Amino acid sequence: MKKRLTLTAVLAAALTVSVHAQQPKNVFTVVRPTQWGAQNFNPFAPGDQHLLPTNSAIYESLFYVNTLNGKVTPVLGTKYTWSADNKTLTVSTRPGVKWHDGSAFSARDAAFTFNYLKQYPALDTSAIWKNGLASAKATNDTTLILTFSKANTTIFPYIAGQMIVPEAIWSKISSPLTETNAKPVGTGPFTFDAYSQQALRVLKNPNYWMKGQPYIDAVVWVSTNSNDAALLKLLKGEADYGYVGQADPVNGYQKKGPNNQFWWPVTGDNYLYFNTTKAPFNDPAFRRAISQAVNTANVAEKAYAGAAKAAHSSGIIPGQQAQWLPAGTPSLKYDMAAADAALTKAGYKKNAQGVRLGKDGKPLPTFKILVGAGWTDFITMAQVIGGDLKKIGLNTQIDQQAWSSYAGGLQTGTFDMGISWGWGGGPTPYYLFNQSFGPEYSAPVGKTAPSNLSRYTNPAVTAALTQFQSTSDAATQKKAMATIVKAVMTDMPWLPLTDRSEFSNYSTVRFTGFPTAQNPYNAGTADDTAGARLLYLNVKPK
Amino acid sequence: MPYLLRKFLFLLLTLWAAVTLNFVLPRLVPGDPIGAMLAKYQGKLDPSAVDALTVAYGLNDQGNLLTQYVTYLGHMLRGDFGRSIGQFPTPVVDIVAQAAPWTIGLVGVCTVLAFLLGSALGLYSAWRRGGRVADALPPIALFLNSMPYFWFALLLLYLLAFRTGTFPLSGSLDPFLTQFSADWWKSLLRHAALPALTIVVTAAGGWLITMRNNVMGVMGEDYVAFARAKGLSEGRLLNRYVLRNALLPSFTAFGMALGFVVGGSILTETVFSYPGLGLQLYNAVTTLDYPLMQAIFLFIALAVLIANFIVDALYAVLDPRVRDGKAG
Repeated sequence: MKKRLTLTAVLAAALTVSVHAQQPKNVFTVVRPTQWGAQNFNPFAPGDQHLLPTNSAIYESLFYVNTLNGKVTPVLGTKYTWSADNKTLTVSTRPGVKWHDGSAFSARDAAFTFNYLKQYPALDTSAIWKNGLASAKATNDTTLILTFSKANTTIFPYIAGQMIVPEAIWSKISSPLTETNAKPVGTGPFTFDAYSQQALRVLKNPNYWMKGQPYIDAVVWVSTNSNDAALLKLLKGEADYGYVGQADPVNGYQKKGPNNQFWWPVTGDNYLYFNTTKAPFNDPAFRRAISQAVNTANVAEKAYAGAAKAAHSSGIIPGQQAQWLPAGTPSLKYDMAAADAALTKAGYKKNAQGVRLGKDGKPLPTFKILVGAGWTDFITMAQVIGGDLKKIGLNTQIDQQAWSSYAGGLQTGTFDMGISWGWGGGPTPYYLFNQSFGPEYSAPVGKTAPSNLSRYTNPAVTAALTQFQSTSDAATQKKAMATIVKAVMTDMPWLPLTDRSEFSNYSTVRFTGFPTAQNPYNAGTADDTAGARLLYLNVKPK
Repeated sequence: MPYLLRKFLFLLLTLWAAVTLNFVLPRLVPGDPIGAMLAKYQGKLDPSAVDALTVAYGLNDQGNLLTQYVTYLGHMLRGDFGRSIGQFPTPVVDIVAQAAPWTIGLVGVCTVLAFLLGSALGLYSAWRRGGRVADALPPIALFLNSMPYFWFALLLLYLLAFRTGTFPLSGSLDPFLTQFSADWWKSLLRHAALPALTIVVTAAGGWLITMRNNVMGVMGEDYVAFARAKGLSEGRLLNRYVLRNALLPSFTAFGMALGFVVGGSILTETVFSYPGLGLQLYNAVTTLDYPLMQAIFLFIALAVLIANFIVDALYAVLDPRVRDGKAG
């Protein structure tokens, strides 16, 4: 300890920046609104605890599944097929791919990667083995066969998205959990070059398997510590791309320069969660009535000034509605009078002062709406909701909580109502509904529920989820989805409020080829994801 | 020396109390790190990850509180502070080692500079009382000293970095420079300029006032009047009679201030995104990164305690009454 902290050693360690002779020519610069941690390129490290290039530029997965529309793009896998009983997945892997160290990639590396997750369960952060993978084998250099203990087609995006590592290197690593993998060897379009707390750089992989791509010589990430600071760098032309949330992207960015553009596709919703373990929120009639009393169009307008629209009350995002929302399903209509009458009919009468009474005839208490402290968009939503509910005789109070109490309150079920995003999601609405209402994501009040914040389960929904999961037939999946949507829209365990979008902002001064609504080749997601890999592959110097 | 031994035992006792508090406090805070992380990714991290993460962070099987406490103490004694949760799996010690030089370099140098500058001006202001400059100094010092720290930092940032672009907006270095080259040093100094200015300007005022009061107090003593009556030269009077006696109380405070350097200046470092311990502590608190928080708190406590101990020891040297155990 003492030895480790001697001042000279410490100085040397802290001030080390790699020395570089040549400077790359076409550099694509990404600005980050947050700081990053230590030099860690471990693709198994959860979340963004590995550095940004790890999953976007250095390592590659078998496929890329676009969460907007479910479209599958081949990467290291070229095609996949489910067996008739949906218990075997056969993946063909790409021939002729080389690792950064020059050795050849094969299906055996992919099989090794999946078996590695079994060997070290702490690495399996998408719970692939827990959800039924039974074996992973390579039958030859280009065929990977995965077998499952139960039919589970919805696991595909997790299989597709798993970053593949070279067996020759990782088989020698005995503690993969704490490995920082400072010199990463992947198959990706870029190789690691330089790290410091201020900037990261990767260089074009000259031996990349896509001929002619990437078009750029390097990607540089620059760190700042707030959205404002990041936006400033974009405006000053010091960065070409930034995943930066703003209140008003049109006036705040687009109108400030002819080359400033943004693409904010909707990939999720914000919801008003009801705690269905508490009276009167345990009564579906009550939840449905008060949902009808909230003007979500007004909520969206006040909270996001037109940048986000009201959500469809099914909770399905616009990009997936055409395919999954049963034809002709209307969104719940805002109707104060109907809500008022429905509440009275359900046994919640009003007294002479206009205060709503519970079924026991006593006035209902003031309900708290849980939001994060200082989160202006959520606070505005809670204000609008409170105003609407006041009109039907319900009193509410905004409960601002610091981060840990906010998340903890939602997960342990100590709230009345709470505003949050969808805790779960994927290329079809199944993932959202499964994680939001699946019994395995719930827990008794007081215990942490991973994502079923409403603590709502319904045997019909659970059965439909299982049905959806165990088939690869689109028609059957559609039928199951219809059952789920109907149940959720009847019981209203939550009220979908507004759309949520990704925050891709970019400048076309130096580069072209960014994803757009016409060409949504990725989902506009943050700069450290498999979707960002496609961005770095497709941007072209002007 | 029983006096020093007593002080040393007190140091150990306080240290144990600090370590224990460090153990207890995070366990009283609501929320758990895994939940916080799931929430932080706003639905982009799969909820199925909970089990894997629990195993990954070693939160699955921790035994009862007493076992945890004993294990914790054992690890502390070996200098093992565990692995960061916010920057998993980097060992906490590595993060501290990486951030500490920036903080000690910036805040340490500035604390010394502020002390020297403030004390010199305070001495001047007291000694040349009645002069125009000397009398203008205390009100300016009071104003600067009571000014909100981050407000001044933001003002500097706006005027000298955003408007004129003279200094960088954030960070501690330009990227991709050859280490220790001329450009590298230039970049280092340019980045340190604004945070340093913030610290020195706001801290020097306090030292000025303290020093001025001390000097005035000493100047009112009989022995100074006597020395002056004997016709001693101004310089001799200032050096031998005034300065030495006036410096003692300031020195105690200076020792304490040095102790606090290790904690860094959270405000300065977050405003300027300066990658020191203050910024790390701020990030650790927002991500519920208990191991990192604990380590930084412990280093702060340790530095303050050691600074205290050194000041105590110096007193024993300077004041014979303390040394003989008759006072203190």
